[in-house]
Amino acid sequence: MTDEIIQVRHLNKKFGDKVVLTDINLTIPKNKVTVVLGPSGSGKSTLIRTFNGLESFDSGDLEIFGQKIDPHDKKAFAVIKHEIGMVFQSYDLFPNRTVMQNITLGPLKVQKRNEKEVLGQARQLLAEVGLEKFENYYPRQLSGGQKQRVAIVRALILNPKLMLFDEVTASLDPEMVRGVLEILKQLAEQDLTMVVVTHEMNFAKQVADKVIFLDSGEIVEEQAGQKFFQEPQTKRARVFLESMSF
Amino acid sequence: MSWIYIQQAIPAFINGFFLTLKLATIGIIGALLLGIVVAFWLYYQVIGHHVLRLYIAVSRNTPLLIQLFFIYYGLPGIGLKIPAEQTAILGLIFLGGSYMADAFLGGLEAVPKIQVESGQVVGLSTWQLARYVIFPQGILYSLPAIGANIIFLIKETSIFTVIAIPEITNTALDLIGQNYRSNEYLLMMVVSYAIILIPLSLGLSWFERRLRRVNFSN
Repeated sequence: MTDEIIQVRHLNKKFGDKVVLTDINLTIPKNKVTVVLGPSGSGKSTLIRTFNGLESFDSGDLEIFGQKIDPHDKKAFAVIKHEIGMVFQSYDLFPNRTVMQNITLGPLKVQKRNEKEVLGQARQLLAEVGLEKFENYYPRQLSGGQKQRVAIVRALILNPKLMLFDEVTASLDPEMVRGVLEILKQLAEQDLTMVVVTHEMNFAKQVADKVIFLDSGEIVEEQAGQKFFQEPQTKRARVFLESMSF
Repeated sequence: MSWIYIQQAIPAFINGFFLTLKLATIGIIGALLLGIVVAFWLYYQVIGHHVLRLYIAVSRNTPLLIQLFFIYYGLPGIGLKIPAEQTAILGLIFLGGSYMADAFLGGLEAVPKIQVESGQVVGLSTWQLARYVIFPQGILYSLPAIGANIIFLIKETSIFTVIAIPEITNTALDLIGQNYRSNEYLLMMVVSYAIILIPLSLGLSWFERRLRRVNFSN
């Protein structure tokens, strides 16, 4: 097995006539944190959504866990999709299910795991994110930050090989952001393979092993984390970093 | 207004009342089941969904009266003779199925796309997504329309009188014909429908409010 968990070659995608991703070539290293940066509308979310089949692509090659993905095969992700966790910007817990029911739905119904073992792991993960007392709460009874932490647990309990985070702090109040970012930092320290789309530059600087900088659907720079922040190689990246003024 | 006519007609109206209730209940349950199947069929655009669109168009744009005539008087022409009560239930299912399908479909389509994606990323299959995510949320959006359809279908049972089923309306018209006492029997007819419909209407509103309070908002 190579050290790359994802390999993308010459990937292109359009929404109708609008080109959203152009000739994307990248690799996602195993057990590392890859941060995807870029201005709004640059194709960051679309890019990571191709990694778990939420978006198809028009041409190019995508290889995940060594398996080549056929963009026209709707079942291409059937075997690997529960090995890829994802957390969205708007948390999107199932409102009709309690915290515990949200978390255990995947492991019980998809992975068909033992209920006792799943409940034990769920409680342990909830405790790790400080929500051990909330397992019987409904999403509407939680704050935004708490919901986002539940969403992270819901993804982690599937024991994914890869975690995708799509602007997970963008909908949160400033005081909630820190708690969620702390959890992401802890995950990064556990050598989980993570791809993180974020606008939190300080956080990105702290956790990124690798940065992919996108603009208008093209990769402008693909760089080791610290190097990107200290010596961006392109003018576009420098302007972007200055505009974020962190 | 003569009390004695009302008193004498009570047993007949009780029979009509329970017959109306029985036919409506079976018909509405059938319509709900048909509606769910049709709605999911259309939601997932399963092969043949155009035929179901045609069914909805025909069902919604023809009167129940004509549908009953077709089943009761038309089908025997091709050797299919269906008794009156079964005709009534079939007619109600045929009519109600399309209204219920539209109500359910509206609810399913109102479930935010991100909810479906959340289900997909935890690995749920299409069937599991429908069962655990889309249906439980969609039904909440559908409830007002489903409630209105139930009330509508119960009121439509009054048309069963054209195939001589002794439900509430038929009972009233029959007694008026026999005794020429319109006021008494029309009053009893109104009261009979009100006994079914007013509590049902209030109950549905309460149920809808309660479910919304419990389940909505993320």
